[in-house]
Amino acid sequence: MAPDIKPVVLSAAAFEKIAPEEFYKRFVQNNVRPDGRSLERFRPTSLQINSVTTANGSAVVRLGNTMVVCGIKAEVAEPRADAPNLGYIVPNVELAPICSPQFKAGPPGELSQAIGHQLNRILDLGKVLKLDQLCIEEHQAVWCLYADVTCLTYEGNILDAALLALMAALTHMRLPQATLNEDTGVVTTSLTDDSTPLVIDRPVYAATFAMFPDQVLLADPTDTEEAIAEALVSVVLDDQGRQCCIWTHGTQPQDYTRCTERLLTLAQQRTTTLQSLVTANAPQS
Amino acid sequence: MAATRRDHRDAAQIRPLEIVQGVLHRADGSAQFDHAPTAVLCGVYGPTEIKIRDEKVDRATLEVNYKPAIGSSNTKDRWIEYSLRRVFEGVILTALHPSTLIQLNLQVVSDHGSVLATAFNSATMALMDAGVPMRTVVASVSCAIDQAGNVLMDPDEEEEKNATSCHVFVFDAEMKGALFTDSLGNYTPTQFEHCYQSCKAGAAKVIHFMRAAVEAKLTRQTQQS
Amino acid sequence: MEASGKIVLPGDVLPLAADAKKTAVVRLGPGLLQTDDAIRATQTGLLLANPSNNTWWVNGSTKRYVPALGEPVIGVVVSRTAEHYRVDIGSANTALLPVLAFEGATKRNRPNLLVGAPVYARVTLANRDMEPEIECVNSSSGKADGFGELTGGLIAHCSLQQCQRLLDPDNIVLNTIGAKIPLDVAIGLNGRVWVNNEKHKNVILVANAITSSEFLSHEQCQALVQSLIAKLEL
Repeated sequence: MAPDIKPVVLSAAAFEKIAPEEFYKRFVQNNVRPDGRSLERFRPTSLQINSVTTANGSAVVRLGNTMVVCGIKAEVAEPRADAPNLGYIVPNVELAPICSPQFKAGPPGELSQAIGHQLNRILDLGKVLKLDQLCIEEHQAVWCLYADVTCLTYEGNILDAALLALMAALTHMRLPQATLNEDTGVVTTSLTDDSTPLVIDRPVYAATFAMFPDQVLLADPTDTEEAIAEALVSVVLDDQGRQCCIWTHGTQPQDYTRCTERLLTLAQQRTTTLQSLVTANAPQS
Repeated sequence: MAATRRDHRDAAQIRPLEIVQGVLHRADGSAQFDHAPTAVLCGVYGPTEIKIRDEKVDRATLEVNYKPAIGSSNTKDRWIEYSLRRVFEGVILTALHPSTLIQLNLQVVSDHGSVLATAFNSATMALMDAGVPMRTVVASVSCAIDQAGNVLMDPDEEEEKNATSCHVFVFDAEMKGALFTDSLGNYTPTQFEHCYQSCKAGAAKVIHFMRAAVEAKLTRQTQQS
Repeated sequence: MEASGKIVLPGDVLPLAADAKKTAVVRLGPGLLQTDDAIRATQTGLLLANPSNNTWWVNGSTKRYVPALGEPVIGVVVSRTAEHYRVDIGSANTALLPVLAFEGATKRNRPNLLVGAPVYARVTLANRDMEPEIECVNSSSGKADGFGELTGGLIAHCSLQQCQRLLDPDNIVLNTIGAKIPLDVAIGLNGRVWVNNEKHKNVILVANAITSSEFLSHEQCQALVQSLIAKLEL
């Protein structure tokens, strides 16, 4: 007698848990994602500037359920001997257990250090701003900007959120007026209304895509999408649409000759959106 | 186009490659890969016992430790570890050794540019030496675009410093696309495409060289039986 | 089967003859994996085949042992509980050796192994999701079959491939020396070889010969063995 095989009925939640790839494939075939977005749509993005009053500049970014705060604190430091008129920008990303249970308490994890360093490289090698504007007195004192990006809730795509928060905070920050007393060697600072903002030569914005089989790309992936994607591609463009960075890492090879055009078009649109978001959000003084 | 480089190479020329496998006595597999004078040593342990907090029940956990040539490690090295781990997690057949640890330990012996690409190549050779099951072999080549717009393959540290953009690509043996890309600076889509194709051709040469090195070593060993 | 003997790298496609694919069953051994479109190598090494049953495998070189069912291994007891010894056999996880898995062992009367004791055992459970299990008795006959605690002697460490070569009945090193002096040898496929003789000096000489002969050619091996025989205490 043939065994009586009953079809298994799975709840959607159980299906997602057991076979996440297959679960996503069903959605992608219908050009929609489990959170209701179309494939190439970014999550609603909002920005709030300088709401952290104790920082010299700050920005709060919400990218769907990913939320980060970037605070910039300016401190006076000694310049390096081989670069006497250059200041420093030290970006640092914190992914503490508060934002997601996947992060453990203790010293910064690999991901937060990797993203922090990627921000640093984009600022430095992408020539985003000139560090000589952070000079107070050559050979004596320069500004060191500690840019701490803290994640409050984590739902993927931390690079886009962190870079947007960092750019917005840098664009709208005010450096205190600083003078060096030649005799005592002490730097006195005062925050006045006529403090000059930083000159950003090349504002850059990131657009991250999760690559799925058959050249399907999902814009602005959530953490579940990141985990099952073949690869993550982060495209960083400046306000003129020039390429600053392409960072791809994943488990399956990605053939750029077949997808670059689409990636660049989408990243271009995203950059325009973010640029206007940052400029429109000038803080009320 | 005769761009003279500091070491008198052609723009498209990769520095002399050298591979020594099995250099570390205690490691399960090891290799030193040179893009002379840049050299990276890699030792692989695994599959070995894993701490319970790192255990994954359906696959092996990959741990990458990268030590620079000079100084203590910092966030830059964490970034390199993250990059290596992302690529090799897809390359190593981790499902064949669940609940175990595979450890990649890299030590830069001398850093004269293109150290990330050399690290990728070194890790591939060490994993092959250890007999860790892999989906494919991978090879990496980097290039830099100088102020004049020349694409310089396998740049040294001076060329990296003066470049307008630097590009690192990792390819597998099938050459269908890049497993890893790091392109940074100011460049046009045409330049990017050019770098991609040049590095692809370079990676094919590196894989060819890896194959030759493995064949030479195994032929020597099998003479006995 | 002319492809056999070729050196393969991970990802290389197994060059099966086009006609063989339709008719014959292909059996895959270590180092090969079937992917969606082809059979590919997963390890570096020599591609070998047994044409009689169309079995293919890659003879790679590894130092780390992955347990396989039925293989003899040499392990060291690292801890004991009421029912099991935990034995280090060089694999990712320590192996379990039931305290009753010895010849003639009963609840009252069983061998008492101390931590650090070397044992020669056979793998009875090798599953990638479970801890390996080993035994020192043939469970069907109840006989030891040569397995059990190893007393005296010395354990030499070498590569897994060298251990397999030592199992060859025509192996020069063991054969030539064995003809001169009485020699107790236990070969574990986990890269460990146990040797014993009345004289300590002989034990050390043989252990060294085993480890150093790995990368020598046939002639070099013979020269090595001849020089050793001169030094043996007969």
